[in-house]
Amino acid sequence: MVGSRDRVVRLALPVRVLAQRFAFGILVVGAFLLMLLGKADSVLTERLRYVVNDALAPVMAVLSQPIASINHGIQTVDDFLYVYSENTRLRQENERLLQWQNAARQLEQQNAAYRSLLNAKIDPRITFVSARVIVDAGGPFVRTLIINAGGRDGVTKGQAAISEVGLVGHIVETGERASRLLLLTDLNSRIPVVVATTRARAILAGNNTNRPQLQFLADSVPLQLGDRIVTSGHGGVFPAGIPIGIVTLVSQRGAEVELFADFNRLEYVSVVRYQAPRLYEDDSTLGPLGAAAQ
Amino acid sequence: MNDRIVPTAQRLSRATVPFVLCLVLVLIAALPLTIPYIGSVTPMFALMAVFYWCIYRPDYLPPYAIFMVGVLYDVLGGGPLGLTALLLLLVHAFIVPQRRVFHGKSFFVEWLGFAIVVLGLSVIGWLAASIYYVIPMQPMPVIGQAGLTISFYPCIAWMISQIHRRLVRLEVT
Repeated sequence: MVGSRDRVVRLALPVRVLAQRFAFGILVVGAFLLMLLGKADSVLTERLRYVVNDALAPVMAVLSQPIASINHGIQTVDDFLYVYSENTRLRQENERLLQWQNAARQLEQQNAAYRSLLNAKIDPRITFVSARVIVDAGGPFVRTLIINAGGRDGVTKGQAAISEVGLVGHIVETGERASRLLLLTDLNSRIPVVVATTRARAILAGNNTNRPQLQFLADSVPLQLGDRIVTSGHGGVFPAGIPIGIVTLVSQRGAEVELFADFNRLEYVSVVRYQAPRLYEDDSTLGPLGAAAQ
Repeated sequence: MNDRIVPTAQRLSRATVPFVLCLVLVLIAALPLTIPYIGSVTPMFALMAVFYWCIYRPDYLPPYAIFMVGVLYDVLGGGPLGLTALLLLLVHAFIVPQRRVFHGKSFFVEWLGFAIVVLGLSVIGWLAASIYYVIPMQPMPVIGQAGLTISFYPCIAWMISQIHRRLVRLEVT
């Protein structure tokens, strides 16, 4: 009896080790397969991301609440350290802005007058969906966030996301409750832009650093430090004229843009629901505004 | 009655606690916490847990659990799907056969081992991501993440060891 049991154990052990090795191999192959499928942008991997992110959205929304207050706390300490220099800077800025406010009021009136004279067509009304950032995985290879608004709130793929100061990125995945935002700084981000003063067109390409680069800018156009970069509205995905940043470096290899949006302080973003004017009216493509508006 | 429930509970907690802990660490790393002056790169907390269990109790965290932890990280992070799963499986493949090297040694030996693993994984991850995106990745974020991950290890390892001790006590009683 004991002998036969021994024999079974002696036989079973190598089989078990072999099975474990085999299972390990399958998992490694599985990981490779997932990478291939993901690279091919298959429906399967998109579905997986969609389902998991949607399921985790409520959990992450709750967990990220105290994180926001921790961030605020850190920020407050940081602000106290620079309160004097910050105050001086803000006072000077305030003076400058008051002058600009006057100028803007005059221009606004002028603009309205010209518009009525010309009977100009302006872009369709834009609506916003504001959402909180619930996931910032901080991986070294991608710059993405997950926000707590999705299909049911009227967020769809391709829409622009802005902060109070400028463009942040655009939506690349939407679930029901959550969507993924590809930041301007990500390697895969390409945004059609124009230089505000010269109206020269270019593409703003992310490179995983804090300074994306201007590409495909015509050589004949002089570019100066401090030039403002705004969205061009070409391609019909983003509305035109959303501020993005200023040119901080011009070299042979291209120009770098410093962004207005501060990605380290991003807590809320507004998703811009916009549909470019079309030849044929088809209101259904944008979808209903969803629960958020009601 | 009690005789049957208690061992089942023990087995259940042994099988689930390390796995759930890894999942929680993935979620914590995914929270939008920004450290001033460092930016939004977060340490890989889950890697620390995987390393710890691979050294002390590989039977608590089988490869399929490691795989699932990696996939969750990739899904939340939006990076190449399956890359982290692969890297964590590599940790298992490298560490488990040599885990006895770390037993009974001082914590610094373990920390050194962890640092070597993190640096190795960073190089492999950087290469894999560069191939995946067909463009060389920026090295700075990878270096930053490796540095953060190594420096956070003592703290997380201590927390996991506390949980480990509780689990062992469960086993004894």
